Amino acid sequence: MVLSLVLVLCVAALVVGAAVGWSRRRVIVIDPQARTVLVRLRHRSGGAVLLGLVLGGLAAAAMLIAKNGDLGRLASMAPAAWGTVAVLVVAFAELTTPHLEGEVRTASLRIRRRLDAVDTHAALLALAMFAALAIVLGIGWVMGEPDDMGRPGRSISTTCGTTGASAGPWPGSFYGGLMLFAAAELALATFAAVAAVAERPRAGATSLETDTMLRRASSGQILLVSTAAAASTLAPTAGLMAMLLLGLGCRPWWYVPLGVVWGIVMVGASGVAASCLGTALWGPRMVDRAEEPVVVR
Amino acid sequence: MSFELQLTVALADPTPPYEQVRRQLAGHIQTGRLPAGSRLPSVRQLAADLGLAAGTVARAYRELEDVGLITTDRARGTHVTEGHAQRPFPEDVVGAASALATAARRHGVSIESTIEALRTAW
Repeated sequence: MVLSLVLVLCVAALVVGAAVGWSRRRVIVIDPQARTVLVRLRHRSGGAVLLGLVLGGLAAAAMLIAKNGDLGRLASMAPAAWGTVAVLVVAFAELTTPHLEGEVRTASLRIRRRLDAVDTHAALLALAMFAALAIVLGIGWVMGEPDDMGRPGRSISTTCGTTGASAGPWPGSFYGGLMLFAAAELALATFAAVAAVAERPRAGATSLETDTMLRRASSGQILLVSTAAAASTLAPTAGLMAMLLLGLGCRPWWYVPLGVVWGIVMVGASGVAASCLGTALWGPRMVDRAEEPVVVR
Repeated sequence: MSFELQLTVALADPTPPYEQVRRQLAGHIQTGRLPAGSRLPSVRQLAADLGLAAGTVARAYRELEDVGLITTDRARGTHVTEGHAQRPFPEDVVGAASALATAARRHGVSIESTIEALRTAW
């Protein structure tokens, strides 16, 4: 009953999150004369995100269906692998974009700062999601006990007087180490991809402001894909922990509120993942400066 | 700087790209458009944006350093040095000159021919 309710909430969070993500797309105000080149660049960037998500999805699917007898350790890294592949594909597309055209090249003498290229909101969201994932995995690690075969951190056990209860698979050290490694790899790939966006050549003869907005949009898409991947690791992990904590026949009183918290984390992470993907997939909306002289939201 | 100063390099121009960069930067410094203390972009940024090799821009910077127009500090980057600005030209004259130079480069016209065209128009 509780599980069904949580699953319904998760599906609702996915639908609402995707709609919110679509509606909260970044607005880029562009110079009308630069529209052609900017639209081309954004189409390329959007295509790269889609291709990255598909290729990452294939890699993740291969990890999920691989039957190698490792009790799901490889599968536990699938969401992070999906994000890593997607982020690397987007970074490759950014670095190989032909930004310069023609016989006459123009460059601004204004200093470009790396931090200007970073979408601050997306970066903070990514940091929060990675921190939440690390905290959940850390708590899982601490609470984990060896299972009946002696594999460390693969189950959760309680004792109530003379009786005891045990459940698994628990996301403790048996899975947590690899999942943390995969998350760290995803974070590293994200950092490298954002740095690549900040360092790439300027897009044609656009103004510095427009160029900065383009970079922010690109870094934002990378960070959103990365956040979605971290959230896709967090949601099932928290969901599994909630299910096991609430399903134990004998448990300390605090397992119930903790299980409810993990259930809420699962629903929230599902919503964040869907929202980030919705925003990243649709990409920013371009508005001609003459139409709407508004600064980036 | 509140306005956006630009450099233009025309590949069809017979003048080597490093010389085009050097000449324009020297012009900006001497006309006061790049005042003393202004920080210049890194060699890597400028080279990437212009689609040139880093060595090409580095050579232009080196020659400007040799004549004392700019100075490079590992920690602070490259800055315009003091005392090189001549009496600043009026803004509209500098703007028109920049437009003329850009148009001339686009059509592959050398600086000598452009000056000649300017003399004719005077």
